[in-house]
Amino acid sequence: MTISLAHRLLAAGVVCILALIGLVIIEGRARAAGREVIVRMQPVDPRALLTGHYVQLSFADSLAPGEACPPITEREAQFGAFGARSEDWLALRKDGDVHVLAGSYATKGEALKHGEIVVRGFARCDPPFTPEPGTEGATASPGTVFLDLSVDRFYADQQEAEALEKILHDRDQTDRTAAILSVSDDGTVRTKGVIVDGKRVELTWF
Amino acid sequence: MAYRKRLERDLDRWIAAGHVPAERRADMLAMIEEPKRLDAATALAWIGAVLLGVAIISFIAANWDGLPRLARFIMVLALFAAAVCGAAWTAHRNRPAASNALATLAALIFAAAVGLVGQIFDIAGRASHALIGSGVAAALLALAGRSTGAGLAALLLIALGDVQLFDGRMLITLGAGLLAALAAWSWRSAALAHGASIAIFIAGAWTIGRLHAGEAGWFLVAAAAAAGVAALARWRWKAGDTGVFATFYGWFVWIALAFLVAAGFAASGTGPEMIPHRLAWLTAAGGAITLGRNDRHALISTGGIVFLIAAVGAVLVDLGVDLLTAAALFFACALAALAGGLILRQRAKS
Repeated sequence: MTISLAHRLLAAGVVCILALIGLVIIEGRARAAGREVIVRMQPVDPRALLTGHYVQLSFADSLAPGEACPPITEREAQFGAFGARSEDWLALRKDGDVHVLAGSYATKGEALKHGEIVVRGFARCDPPFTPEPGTEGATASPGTVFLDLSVDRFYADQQEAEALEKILHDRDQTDRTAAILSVSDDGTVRTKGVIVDGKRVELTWF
Repeated sequence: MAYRKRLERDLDRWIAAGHVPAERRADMLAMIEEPKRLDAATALAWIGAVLLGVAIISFIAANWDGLPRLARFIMVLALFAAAVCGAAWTAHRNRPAASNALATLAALIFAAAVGLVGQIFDIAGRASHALIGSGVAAALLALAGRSTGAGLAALLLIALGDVQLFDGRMLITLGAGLLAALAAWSWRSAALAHGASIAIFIAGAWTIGRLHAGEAGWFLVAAAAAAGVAALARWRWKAGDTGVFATFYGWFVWIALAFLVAAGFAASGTGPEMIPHRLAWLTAAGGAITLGRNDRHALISTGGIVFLIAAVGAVLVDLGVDLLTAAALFFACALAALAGGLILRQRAKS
């Protein structure tokens, strides 16, 4: 029995459509099943008009004055065979309403010893600056932890994005913005939404 | 000059010389198989399909904020389904060109849909995976509908995704190129044969270059393999299997020459130790020109000329002030070319 070209094309089309629907369902379920963490973020250019109205997620968290950087894996020498570096395991610990970096480690097991939630990604830390005594004009500044997770944007509708832009424009008040993330057991991070001025903006089907 | 025009002119000469009766002229001309040309309707169908694809992508890029996410998702799926149904319907009505164009459009819509679905539902993922996934879907549509356009779209999407994997290899593109070559052979599609050959070349060069950086030997092996494929394609072409084998023959001569050149650069030597490589380069380029002329294969002749010019440039750069050595090298090649030409002429006379 030979299947006609038309029927084969229809079957291929159905397979493609099912694959797309499957992707949405699987990702949606994984997002719902993951553990929710809230991570502070730094406001950066919030809207990208050409590629859709999205909020750029840049995870940056200022350390308390005098607080040292958390331990961060230095694996520059262990780049992959062709220059691609595999992600580290980042341990996150609860700090009030948000999660902060407890340290970055080479293995999941090691990371789990230091934080209740572990995610895949990279971390770096700008250490705090303390001026030498008697140095004129120099002021102490706290350190900042930067996280590079696999998510870097949250798509919002134009109205939402414009409202967020107004708030995010005030760059001094970084405590007002945070990202809501869903973390799976395998350390995969998915975006659930953002919190701006206490308002949760979450992904909905409608 | 087109074959028909040449034949008309020759026939008139033969009739004037009395070799052919004048009354046979019309019958003989009627027996000529006119090459298949893209008619205006087909060309317009292709232009229309491509412009429609561009318009859809622009529309998608502009976004539409007023609709709920679910409605947007359904619209994307409906658009893709419409293109697939159009391709199936035209295939059923035995209109292969229209079916091919619509299957290509469906493949492009699917690629756009993958990106759009990621945006609608905030699905985090690597661009490389999205592109390769879209390429696989395009390949599925190509195989299902025997669509060369969708096949070329699949090759392009897979190659773009493969490059972005940043793992230093392009093995997926290499595999896709080989599959496309098989499909081109099976469907006798010159367009797909061009695409497959280019994909194999880029993926092969990229992979060898990154995996075996500095190892000229691998490029020499690849050059020999490409020359072998070219020889095989030539044999099939000469045996009367026209179509894709002429295309493969031409491209694999280019690939063999390119790998031979790459072997020299991978060795990254300087000065006199590079003379054997440059000599081989010049000889191969000259050989390709001769082969191209002998076989009346424009792609090979062009390749030979391009690589010969590049070889001359490379030799001049290599040898710099040592013009005497450069002159000796060119003189040796000129002698070889003259000797080859004389031998060929003697053979033709005998």
